[in-house]
Amino acid sequence: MKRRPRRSTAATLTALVVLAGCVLVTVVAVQLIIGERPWVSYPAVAGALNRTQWTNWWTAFGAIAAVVLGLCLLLAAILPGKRTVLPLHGAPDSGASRASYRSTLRAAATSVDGVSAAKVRLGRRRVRVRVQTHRSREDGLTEAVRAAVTHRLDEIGPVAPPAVRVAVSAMRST
Amino acid sequence: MTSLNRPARLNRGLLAVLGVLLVAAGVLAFATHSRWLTLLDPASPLVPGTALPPTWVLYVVAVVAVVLGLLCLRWLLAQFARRPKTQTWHYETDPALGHTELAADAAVAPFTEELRATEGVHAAHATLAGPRTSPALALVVTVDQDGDPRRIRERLTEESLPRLRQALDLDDLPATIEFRFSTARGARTH
Repeated sequence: MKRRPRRSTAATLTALVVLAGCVLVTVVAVQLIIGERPWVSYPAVAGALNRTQWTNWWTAFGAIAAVVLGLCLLLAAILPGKRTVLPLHGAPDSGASRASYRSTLRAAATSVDGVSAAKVRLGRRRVRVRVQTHRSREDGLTEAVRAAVTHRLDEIGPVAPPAVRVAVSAMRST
Repeated sequence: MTSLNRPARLNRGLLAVLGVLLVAAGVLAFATHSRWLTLLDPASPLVPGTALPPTWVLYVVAVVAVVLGLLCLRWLLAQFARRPKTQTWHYETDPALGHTELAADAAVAPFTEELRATEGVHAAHATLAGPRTSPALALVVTVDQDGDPRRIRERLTEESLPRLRQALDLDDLPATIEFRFSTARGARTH
């Protein structure tokens, strides 16, 4: 099972902007109907639009802004985006949520004796683990971390098991 | 097909429609500006006059804006509905003898409880979506740091799922499992 981003942020922002526009237009229209003083002066807006010709550079600016914004929305709609659920091997159809997949690998790396902190970066084919240690001798730590992370990966069983790369850095004692 | 990733399809569809509208409007305006398109006279102003439109136009504008605004609210609310849609199933062998209704979502509650009690499982949610003719079971299982997803899945396919199929009187029940990993360690039982 794979899952791609839902584009909730883009959708929420767009919906809020359009909603705000709709509220403004409704309020101004009702105020004009009942003869109240509108929030936005109608003659000022109509006058400004009436003074602007299609050949004016403001029109070109607005047109380019609309095209750029429209392309952004289109890209958000069309681009598949980074997987949020990674497919796992075997039946039934299953997947692992990407964020927690990373955190469980980090927890596996941190559980190794001598590791004080770990960072995990997920690539398509590679998992990069950076660990920090207080130890002055780093013998065997790389292998131990790699074994722990690989063991957890085996338990999870991703469809394409990534290669594990480990880098150890010693923390400076001050 | 029942969507397991709501509201992705709605969001992407509406974003695409709005994107195409904006691009089309921008291209038309720019083409008129640079005199490639003379549908409108490029030397004319953007709006013909400054007089207030007739009252009926204001009414129409207000109604359209209210409808659009409500649709936007609906779109915003759809962001919170992430679980797949569930339905009520009808079992009817002989209408004269009455019929049975089953809220599909409630039917999986005992199954979920059992799954939660499985070793290595931190939390679990199950949604039984779709009509009775093509059901789909969507599981979200949060696994402890020392829990083994393979063993949980094995137990599901060999014991729990066949039992659920039997209880619901289904020949086939396609299931999807989304594993999440908790870094908390489970209670040791041995």
